[in-house]
Amino acid sequence: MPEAPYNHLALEVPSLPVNAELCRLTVAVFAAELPFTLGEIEQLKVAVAEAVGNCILHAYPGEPGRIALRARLADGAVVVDVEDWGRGIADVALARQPSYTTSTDPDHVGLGFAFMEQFTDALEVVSAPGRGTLVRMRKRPAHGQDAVGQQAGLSPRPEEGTGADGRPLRP
Amino acid sequence: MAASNFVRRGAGVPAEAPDGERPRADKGPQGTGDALQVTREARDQTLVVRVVGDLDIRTAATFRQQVDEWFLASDHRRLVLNLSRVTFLDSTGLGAVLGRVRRVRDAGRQMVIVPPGGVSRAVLDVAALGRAVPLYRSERAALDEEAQTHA
Repeated sequence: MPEAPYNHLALEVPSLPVNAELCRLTVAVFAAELPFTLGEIEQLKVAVAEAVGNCILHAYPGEPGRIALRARLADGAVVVDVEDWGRGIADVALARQPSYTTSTDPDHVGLGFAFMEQFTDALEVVSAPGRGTLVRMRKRPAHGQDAVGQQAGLSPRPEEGTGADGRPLRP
Repeated sequence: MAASNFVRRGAGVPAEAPDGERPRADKGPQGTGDALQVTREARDQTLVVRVVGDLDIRTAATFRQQVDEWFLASDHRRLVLNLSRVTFLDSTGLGAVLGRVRRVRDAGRQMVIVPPGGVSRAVLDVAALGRAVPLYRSERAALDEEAQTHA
């Protein structure tokens, strides 16, 4: 069976609500190279939308700021980075708790990270107050060709400690 | 690829439409464009609100405003919220739905929901929506008071 093609993308957009859709659709098309089911692609879209939505709502609550979207295919999985240089998160573990929210909007449910966790295979969040946040998600087709490679003990994950562009994660 | 069938023109709409009509306030990069359509139909004491398209960070405010204006500011006793043609739902859209459930309940009125399918249903289920409000398989079932065919 041929190896999954190597591909990557990098995109920068301002934190406008319309760009949540742009990012999720971009990643959906990008990830369609892998043997994802339609349901898995829909899950990936929700996860990306939540990461970008956090940038829009929380990283840059006033003026729009920069959001970087990067994705790559590696070892039969898609790795997506969503990065901002906004407000940052003081306590990442607390922010990842379901229903935790800093918003005063009564309609805000605080489930963004919960959906990222639920709809991807791995989620990493690196953040510092005032310096921004990097969210990295990894998703692999559940019944794709790579399941064979996993059973054979071949490298199941992209190398640790690097972002979707292959560069090291920021401290 | 599982993109919805909607052609989205919100980001590229000219400031002035060719026929001279005033551009709608919801157009443009911050508006909802064509990504969401919310319509209503009054049936005696019941108001049916149908949501078609993406209910997300971009469109949730429009949805919220429409439902509050059409239902909470009206005399209708029961709201049937038909989400079966929602093509995408994120946590902001979910929050808007849950917020309407809360406000309708606080107003002492009834609300039922026809949920979407697929991953959007999973998004609703994470918030245990079915415990907060009756879910029906179809609008027809929701409108039939005798039918207790909960989804």
